[in-house]
Amino acid sequence: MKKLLYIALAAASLSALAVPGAAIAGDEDDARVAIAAAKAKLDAAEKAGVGGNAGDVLNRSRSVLDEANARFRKDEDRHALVLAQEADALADLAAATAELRALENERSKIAAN
Amino acid sequence: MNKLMLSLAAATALAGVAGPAFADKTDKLVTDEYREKIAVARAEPGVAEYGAVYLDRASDRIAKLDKKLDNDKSGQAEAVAGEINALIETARTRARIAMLKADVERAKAQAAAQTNEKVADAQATAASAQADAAAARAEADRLKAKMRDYQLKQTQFGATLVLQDVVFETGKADLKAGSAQRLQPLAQYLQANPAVKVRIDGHTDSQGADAYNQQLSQARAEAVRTALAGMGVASDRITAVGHGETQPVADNKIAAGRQQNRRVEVTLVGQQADAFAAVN
Repeated sequence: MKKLLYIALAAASLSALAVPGAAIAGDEDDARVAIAAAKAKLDAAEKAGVGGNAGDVLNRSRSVLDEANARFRKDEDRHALVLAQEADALADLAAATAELRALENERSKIAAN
Repeated sequence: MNKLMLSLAAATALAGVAGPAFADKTDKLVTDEYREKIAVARAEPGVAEYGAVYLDRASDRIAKLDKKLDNDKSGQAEAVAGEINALIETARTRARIAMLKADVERAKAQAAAQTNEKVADAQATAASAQADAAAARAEADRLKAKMRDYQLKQTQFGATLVLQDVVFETGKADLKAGSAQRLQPLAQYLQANPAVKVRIDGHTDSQGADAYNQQLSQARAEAVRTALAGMGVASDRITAVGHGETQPVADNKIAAGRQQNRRVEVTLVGQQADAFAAVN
């Protein structure tokens, strides 16, 4: 019975040590996926010709994504993941800002006519 | 030895479980601030409806962050500030887009309605103009037909209408009742053609004194001019001349000839009689 208890405790302690390792492997994958997703959004926004204020936001997104890539190359996966998610969110903001500006222009034209 | 191993293993296992108890309080405050920001944004007009996707992403990120904070070092909350702020701002922007889209659609509909109204007005005006033009054409055709009925003859001065003396009271220069009506189409033609001038020549037969005949022919020519003027034809367009018995067109020895000689000729100066005869 005592032997069984030792084995159980040993297994528990081993699993406690093993979990962080698994988490690291997951972070690398998550960072890679997040970087790819952010890049896809950035590329789409660039193709759409985002400019003006939205262009500034897009530049910030690109800059943050560059930093995310740099961190990823240095195996700072969690930091890279956080930065990639920020770049992704900024790309969304750039697209929304561009859409808003286009609508504002359209509204002005209607008002002018 | 066994005891020692047991203690070590238990301590290691407990350490794994007890980690959450050391969550960084500053990070907790930061994530609470994020939640507050999200709640504030969600309460703004349209944001909950149109920006829900982004606010939910932000909330999800904070929830995951909270879990990780229990196991990780401090400062993680600040690291996601850029992402959270961008997501909240995107949610607000999406709400503004949705509201502006509705406004643009309303404005477009209003502009389209105004355009349609203008088009309808223009169409109505065009239709009215077409109707007016058609009516004018019909009136012109009617007038031309009546002018054709006059059976104008070509003379040296132009197209000439001959009014026999039957339109006058015997021995007088007064037009008979109803005779003036016969001049109505001529008056309308002259109103429609203001450049056309009129020459009226009065004639008598050879019976009676020359002076009387001269006076009567002049008076009858003047009577026709007065009648036309009364129908709206400017007097200065009309010349009235009396010739007495000096210009007979038939034999004054017979009654039929004398009847032909008693006449008033109304000439549309410079006009071609054929042009009226050809009118359909």
